[in-house]
Amino acid sequence: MAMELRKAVIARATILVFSLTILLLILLVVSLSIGSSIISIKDVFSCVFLQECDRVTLNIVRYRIARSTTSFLVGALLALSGTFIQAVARNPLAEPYILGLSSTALSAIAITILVYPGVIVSRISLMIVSFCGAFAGYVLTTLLSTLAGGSSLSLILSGIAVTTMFSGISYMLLYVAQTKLAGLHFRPDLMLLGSTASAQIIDAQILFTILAIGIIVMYVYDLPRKLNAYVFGDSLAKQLGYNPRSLSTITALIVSILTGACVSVVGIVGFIGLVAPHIARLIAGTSDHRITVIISLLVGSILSAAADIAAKMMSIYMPYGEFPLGIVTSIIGAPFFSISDNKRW
Amino acid sequence: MIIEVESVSLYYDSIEALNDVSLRLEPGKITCVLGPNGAGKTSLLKVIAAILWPSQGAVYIDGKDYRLYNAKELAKMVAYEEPFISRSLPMTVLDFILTARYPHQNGLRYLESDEDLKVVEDLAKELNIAHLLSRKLDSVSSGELQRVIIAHALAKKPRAILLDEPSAFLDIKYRFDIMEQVKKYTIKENLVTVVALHDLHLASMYCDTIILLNNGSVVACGKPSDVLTSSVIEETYGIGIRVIELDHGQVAIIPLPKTRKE
Repeated sequence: MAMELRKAVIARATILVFSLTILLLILLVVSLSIGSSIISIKDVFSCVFLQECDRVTLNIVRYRIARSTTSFLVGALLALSGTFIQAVARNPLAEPYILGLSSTALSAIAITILVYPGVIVSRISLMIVSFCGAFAGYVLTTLLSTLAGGSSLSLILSGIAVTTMFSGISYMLLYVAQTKLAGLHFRPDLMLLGSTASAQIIDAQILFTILAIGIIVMYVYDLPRKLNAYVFGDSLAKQLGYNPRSLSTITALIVSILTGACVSVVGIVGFIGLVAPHIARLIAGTSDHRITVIISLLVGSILSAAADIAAKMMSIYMPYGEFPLGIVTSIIGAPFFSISDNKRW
Repeated sequence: MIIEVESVSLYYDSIEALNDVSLRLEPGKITCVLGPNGAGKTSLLKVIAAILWPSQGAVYIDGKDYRLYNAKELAKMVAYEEPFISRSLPMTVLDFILTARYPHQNGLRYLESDEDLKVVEDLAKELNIAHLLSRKLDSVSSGELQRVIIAHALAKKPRAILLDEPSAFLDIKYRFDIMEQVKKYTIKENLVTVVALHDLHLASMYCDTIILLNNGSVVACGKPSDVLTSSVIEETYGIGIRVIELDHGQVAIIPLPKTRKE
């Protein structure tokens, strides 16, 4: 019985990984073919997978690959963050954006830009600042939540309080920064709503490196197994030989690095960290983190890539210029948030 | 395995939860920890399970201070179970029981081995919970949940099990059922078994040794027929008792409200 059940779960997960990867590749091709000029999907396919390319297509693909891969990677990083933070918060409604990590990260970036505008040039410095902001946000939210009684409801409410306040602060600061830095190509409104439009290939490379390091650390530290134990309470984690306090701190640090990296590149993209783990648990039929981290990572990339494609289409067909990715994820994510609040998957 | 608790005291902030407790726990025997609410039963179990370190004194496992074992060794030897399972994410019964195998697993192996699954499968059959394995934890009844918890404790293949209130929330049939299982495995696997109980009648039926706690101190310790029949019980709980003699020198205890003592 146990053996068959487990084999079925693993078989289902394997099929899912396989089919989600194919879906991801299809979305990559679609994403590359859409832009201010539409190239045919067939041309892009042969260009990416068969290495047969005409010059025009090649140049367009090269130009677009940064944005497309950035949107994938942002989704993957946010989905991982969401999966980890839901376990550490022991709350299926937790998410980097809802817990305030994203907006405090953006505020930290905004303050740094105001004080030292030159920082815009250095992606790494921005990322470090952003990480510090995200971790400070986590600490602030958990502190507020503990003061309010430490229930799962108080955690979410504290998170919303922190998010609301720091969204306001970061918008104000970025608005000031915009007038101050009028000469530069700097769009604070896009950062606040999360956009991949300004992504360069270096961004994709940095995000990929962080994702790879994150996955290696996760595996070496045996994080998914530890999180499985952790969600059943501190006593259970302790009696299995784990230290719950250091586990939650290390996980929060990892989440802050992953979220901070995303915010420094694209700004705030909400709800992917919430939706992806839910969908992953639903389609995998299990909450075992060893399986859901992988599925969730793929689902997150797919959602983010699809949202970015939608944002690009909106930009093409409506004469209002660039639509940010974060708008699309909010429109899809917020109703999902209210549904999952009622129904536990 | 022999566990010795030597003059252990425990403080939460400045509140004393345990005061100079000394015990010797032997394999193949069920030791029951009794006492009113707040007497320190859970604290004692958590100290023995190394979930809380003693503020003073020490716990020895086979003559060696248990702080000298590494966390994984200790985790393999001692299983502590709370009467409920916190369910923040929708885990299945199988997911839950499999966590007990983690101390036996190598970090480099991503998923569990067939041996881990075999251990769980055998236990599930013996405890009659095989049909529950695929269910979500919040969809099983209290009686079933306690058997799941026992399975989780045993799945570690431990040498000591510490059960906190395994009979809480259960009807009388399941109370006997759970204690029968505990007794069976204690003898079969030669376990050091410690059970915190509220039910004096159950304690009189199943325990080999009784430790009575009050305000963090041991007020009585010995065979059920000695401890439960003494006036210490009546003083500690503020109740009356009636003793019924059973076969083989065993006694059954029926607690009565204090007013009806006369």
